[in-house]
Formats: sequence, C-alpha cells, structure tokens
Amino acid sequence: MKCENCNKREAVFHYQRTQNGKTTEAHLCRECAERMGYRSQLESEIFFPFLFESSPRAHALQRCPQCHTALDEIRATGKFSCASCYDAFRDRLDLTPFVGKGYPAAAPVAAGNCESAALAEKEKKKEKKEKSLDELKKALAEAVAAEQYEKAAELRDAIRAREV
Amino acid sequence: MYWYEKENHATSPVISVRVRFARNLEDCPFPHRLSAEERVQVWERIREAFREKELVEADFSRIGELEKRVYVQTHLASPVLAEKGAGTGLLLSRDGALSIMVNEEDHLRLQVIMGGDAVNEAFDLATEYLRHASARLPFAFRQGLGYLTSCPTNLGAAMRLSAMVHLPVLTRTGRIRSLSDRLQKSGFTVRGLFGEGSEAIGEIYQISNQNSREMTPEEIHDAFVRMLAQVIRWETQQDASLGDEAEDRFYRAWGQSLWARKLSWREFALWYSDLRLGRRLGIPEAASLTWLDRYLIQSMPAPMELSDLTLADSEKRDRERARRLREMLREKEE
Repeated sequence: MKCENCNKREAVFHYQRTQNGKTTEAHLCRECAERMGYRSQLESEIFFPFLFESSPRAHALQRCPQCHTALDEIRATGKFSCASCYDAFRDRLDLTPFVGKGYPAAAPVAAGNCESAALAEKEKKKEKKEKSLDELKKALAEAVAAEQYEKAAELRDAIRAREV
Repeated sequence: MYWYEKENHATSPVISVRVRFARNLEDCPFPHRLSAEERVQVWERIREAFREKELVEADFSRIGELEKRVYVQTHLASPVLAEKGAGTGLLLSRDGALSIMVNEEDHLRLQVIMGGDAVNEAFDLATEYLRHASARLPFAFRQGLGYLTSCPTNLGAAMRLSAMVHLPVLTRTGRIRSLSDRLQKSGFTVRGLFGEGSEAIGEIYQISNQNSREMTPEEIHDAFVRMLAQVIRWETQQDASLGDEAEDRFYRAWGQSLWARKLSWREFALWYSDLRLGRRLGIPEAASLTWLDRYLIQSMPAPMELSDLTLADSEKRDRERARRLREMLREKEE
C-alpha cells in the first residue's frame, strides 16, 4: 500500500494505537514517518513492536521485553506476567477499571532501587570514615609539630585501629 | 500463640481481623511464569530479607499434607498455596500473628491476623513488616498504578482488610441481604465464611474491602474501622430486647454441649452460635465461655488430626470433639 501522507512511496511503517477505546492508525513510508516525528518511536525499544507487516492482527504479537509474554496472552488470561509487562502494554490496555483515578502515592524510595540505595548508603559511610581518617592523620602531624606527644599517641592509636 | 488461641474476653461480634498486602519483585516474572528453580530463588531471596525477624519457615514442597491442611483451615495459608510445589511456602512469626505466603498468586502476600477487633494493631504490625521488607527487596511499583500484582484487580495499595464477624441477630431477622447491599455500595463485600453459596455456618461472615484501586492503605484502614463500628451497632442495637428466644436457644445448646457423645463440626457451629450470642447477652452461665472462638477453629478436622493422628477417622473425631467440649464446660463449672 502507498504511504498515506505522500502517496508516492510504499508504506513500510504501520502504526496502530488504541487508547481509551479509540484506535488511531498510520501507514507511512520511512521518510514521511521520520519527518512526522515517529523517528524516536522507530528507535525506542518500547515502541519498536509497533512496526509490523501489513497484517491487522500482527500488533497482538508484540511481546514484553523482559518475560516475552504476548499481549494476546495477557488479554486471554487476565493476568500480567511481570512488572515490565505493565510498561510494555500500559498504553494498549485500559486499566481504569482497576486503578480508578490512579494511585496517588509517590513511588516509595526503595522501589526498584533498594540495592543501589543500600549501596549508596555504604558508599556514604565509607566516605565519612575515610575523611575522618585523613583528618586524624592531619591532627597527628599537627600534634607532633606542637610537641603534644600524649595527644599524638592517642591519635596514632586511633589511626592504627581504623587501618585494621 | 496463634490468633485463635488467645482467650477472647470481649463479647464483640468481631471474632478476628486480617490485613493482607500483596507485593511482587521488580526484576523477575510473577510466580505463574517461573520455573521451579526460579521460584526457589525467589523463596531464598524473601527468606533472606526476613532473616533478622527469625520467622518459622514452612517449605510447602517439604511439609506433609496434614500440616498444609492445618495452615489452610486456620487461615494462615490459602487453598491455592497448598496446591503449588517447589519454591512455595509460608514464613510465620513465632507469636502466630504474621504469615507470609511466598509464590502464591504474587511473590509475596503478607498478612497479619488478630483475634477480636484489633484492626489498628493488625494494621500497624503488617505495615512494620512491610517496611522492613521494602528496604531489602525491590517491590514493583508504578506511578499511577500503585503496587504491581499479577492480577490487575489488585493494583494500587494491593491491600485487603477483612473481619470475621458473628451476626446471629442480623441473620435471624433476615437482614443480611440488605446489609450486604448497603456495604456493597460503600466498597465492601460480605459473604458467609463457612459453607457453600449463601450458607453461613455458625452465622459467621467475612466482610472485606473491595479492590482498593486508588485508595491508600490509610484510607482503606479508616473506612474499614468506620464500617465495622456501624456493623457492630446494627447487630447489637436490639440486644436488650431480644427476649426469651435467644435465652432458650442458649440453654438448649448448653445442655446438649454438656451431654452429647458425638458431634460433627457443623453441628458444633450451630451450638457455638447460640452459646456465643448468650455470652454477648450476658447470660450468667455463658460468662466463662471465653474459649468459644478458639474451639471453633481447634475443633476443625485438620487441627484435631494434627493433635492426634488417630483422629483421621471421622467417627472417632466426632466423639472426641464432643468429649473435649464436655470437658471444657465442666472444667469451668468447677
């Protein structure tokens, strides 16, 4: 079929989007698709599945990038297969009966991030420790220079303990 | 001590409350899409996350069928969990209040059950454990959708609050249907807890919130507390004027309980209802029957069999059920 925009080149890009029960379609050649701003969608992983051969049911073949479940399976069973399915198919399915006006709370700090959050905590603690070790060494040098040998001895012990 | 083991000195129609949260891990498929090995990995991760809490572990691929039936009959596990294989199981707190189902419909289903109408305590304990877990496990969550569950009906707070309530007056005056309709409109469902279809053995019902959608846990909690108070009012508002009928039924049940030689659980549930109402109405002989709720659960088939394997035989069990009841009644008399 010809591109519906220029009507000159063959349509190779077929786009179908269902939102709130309404379906919009586009059948474009590559040049028109790029010019009309579908470029980012051509390249983005999530929208990539929109590209299909000129077959009306082919959109149902798109799969979740993490678990490879097809949209059709989800429609048939009424169950999602992983967290990424929600990302992949959120736009193609009307979830309003299940979420109403939408869950209002913000993402909890730990969601999807707990490992890096825990790691960041560890890094922070490490940094703090190292900083005060430097400070101790500095203080030791100053104490020695000022001939405060008792203080210097304490600092030396503290530094030794840290370095162990 | 499990939720049904505590003595219930109150006379509230509320037998127990339960709060349950469903959560899934961000980075792997939901249980129905996992292989047995993958489920075991999830089980290990969740076990590890709760290591400090020193929970009792019940690996459902290892424990016996009887033990599974006991967990199901005492409401610590769902029938669905009992059907699954490797990598599924329960984590339980030693005090019996908390149970976590692993790899049932979702990776993690955390529930707290408490006797009586301790909704606030149950809610607080559940959220405490949930916070502990969410600091160690990546729970799947999306802006606008809330917590992700395998079934989209559970999206949002993914929280279910339910109460087990004894409603003999509403049942006998034929007002359960209208109660159900009213509660339905404010986002709650009512169903007979034991029995098929519209049966409500023991005149016991379960009231739960419907799918939480956009409600936060706090909103669900507040709405539930208000609703429960209202249900209690409706059930008890005529207590002073119930008259002879309830009293007669109490004494008949009491008499039979003192002397029967064989007792099925179903029949005990009938007497249980009359005895419990009698206690609520302040009949003197009923005052010492603080063990009724506990015995209702403990006299179920699987818990009895667990206490004594020879009770797998139903005839023997029926005789023993009657005997234990007689014993408890006479004990209290002395």
